[in-house]
Amino acid sequence: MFTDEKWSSSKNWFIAAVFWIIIGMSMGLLTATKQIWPELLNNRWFTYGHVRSAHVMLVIYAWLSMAYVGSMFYMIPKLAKTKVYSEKLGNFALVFYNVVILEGFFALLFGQTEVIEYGEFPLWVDVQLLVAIGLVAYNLFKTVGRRQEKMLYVSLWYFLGSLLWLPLTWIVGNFPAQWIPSGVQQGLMGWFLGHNAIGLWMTTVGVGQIYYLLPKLTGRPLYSHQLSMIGFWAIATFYVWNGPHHLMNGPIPGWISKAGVIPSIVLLIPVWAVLANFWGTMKGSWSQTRTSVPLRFTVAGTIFYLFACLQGPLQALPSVSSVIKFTHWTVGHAHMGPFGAFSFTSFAAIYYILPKIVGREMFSKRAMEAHFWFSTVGFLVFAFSLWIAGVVQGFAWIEGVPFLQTVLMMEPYVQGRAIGGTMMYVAQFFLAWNMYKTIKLAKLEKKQQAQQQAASA
Amino acid sequence: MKKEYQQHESKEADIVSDIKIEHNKVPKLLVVVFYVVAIWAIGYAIFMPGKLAVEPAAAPQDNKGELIFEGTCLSCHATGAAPDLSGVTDRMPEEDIKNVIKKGRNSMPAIGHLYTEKEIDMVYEYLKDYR
Repeated sequence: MFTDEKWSSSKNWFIAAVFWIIIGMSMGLLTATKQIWPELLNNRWFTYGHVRSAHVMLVIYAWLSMAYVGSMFYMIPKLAKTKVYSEKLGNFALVFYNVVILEGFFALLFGQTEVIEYGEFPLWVDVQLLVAIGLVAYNLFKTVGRRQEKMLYVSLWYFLGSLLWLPLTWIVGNFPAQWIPSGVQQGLMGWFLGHNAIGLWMTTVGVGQIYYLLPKLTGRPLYSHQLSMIGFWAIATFYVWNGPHHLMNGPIPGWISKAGVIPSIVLLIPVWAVLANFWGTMKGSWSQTRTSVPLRFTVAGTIFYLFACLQGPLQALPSVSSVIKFTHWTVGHAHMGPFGAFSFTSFAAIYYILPKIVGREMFSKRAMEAHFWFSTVGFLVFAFSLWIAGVVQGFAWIEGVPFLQTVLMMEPYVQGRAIGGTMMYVAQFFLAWNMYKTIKLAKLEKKQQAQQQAASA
Repeated sequence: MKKEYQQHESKEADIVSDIKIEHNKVPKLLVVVFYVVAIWAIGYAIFMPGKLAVEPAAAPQDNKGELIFEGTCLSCHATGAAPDLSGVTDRMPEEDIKNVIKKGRNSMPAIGHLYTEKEIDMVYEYLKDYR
């Protein structure tokens, strides 16, 4: 029933991922549109709260995570110089994972939620998703276990670390919270998942992707082994502490608050180390970004990663937090890592890996260009609308401007966000169409080749 | 197999999984940043409260009369549902005005139980300047 074809898991995870980015982002666009026309689709299933949480969960655990698994099913065996332990298991895990995501999607639209940011799926979905993640991790660890290359390349540290950390944060964030009395403790447990889903899954797999893609795309050696060590171990040590900064100035003890602020700032160390390594590797290759869309996506991803990690630590400071907390700013910031940085690197991974799997170039270079520019410009319009909105909103609240008036002040910015969001959404259709065409043509060409060979023989 | 990574000084590139890895030194700027961040972290841990120090709002309440007047009275007296109140202190004595506020008159409800004597005084003070 499940195919054993070489690289089929990688390809199929990518296809599913791109399917879900369309669904997930349409939920996001609906969320943005509802802020302009609150009456839109105002029924039992599509109320604002349902749609927003569905958007968040789908883009992270459906689109981004599936794209990550897809690239790991290619990059890990390549780095280990062996084949995937079991393509069949990989494909089975894909089907299972998609069923679970579908369950979670409907549960959210139905109104079931755990009310934990990045962990909204109800308990019965959480358990199944954990099993699905476990299947993927088992398969990939087994693959590394049978490796032909003794040394582990940096990307492998990141991938293997992430495959351990994701189940761990998932368990801590989703399960004990059910038995802990609600309140501050539950909030802290929830934010352990909330921030580590970003820090020890999205960031670390994404950084691993970049470490793989940059030397491959530029043909240049990795800049520094030492920097990659500093980066990896500092992320592994400090990221896990970041949860409490989401409850900054809230009713948490001062020492917990400090234990959240300090590691947030200390994160500048791994981030700068990683980026120095990337840009050191890029030295002399910047001009290639003009022609190579995958490289351009990767480099743009590193730039957005830098900006996300300049904002993040500053936002953790109590004084900054007191202005921008609960404003639109946070939403802009929250999109920069998952979309600007790591969706971009995943796009690059797809554009790099898919042609290698199907044995044919991407169908349309112009569609790739359109994908890049719509994504980038759309995101910039989206993000700057929200950042300006957030600052205006934050200071208006401090001034004591009546709340309803601040809502009305936000109108142009919310519209700007929806326009940028629409561009981001449209961009993904170029990706989906291009992938569809490429895979279809590759199949056709293979068939023709086989026929020609049969005819000539 | 371990020796490849221990050749840091030699500056020769390793090759892992067909990817070349160089052993360039950590840029000096980064080393400075690392130290600054580390020192800051220790200082913050020892000296800072970790939260924003906020003083309890001790806002002067001398505009309370105005707030009550705009928040309560004007919902009727500015909409045409009830008479305009500008210059009302010229037309009625102080006692009567306060009584109307406390006990109501015709279609106006009694709202005396909502406010203290002092607050009603402040509303009256405000009305004196309301033209």
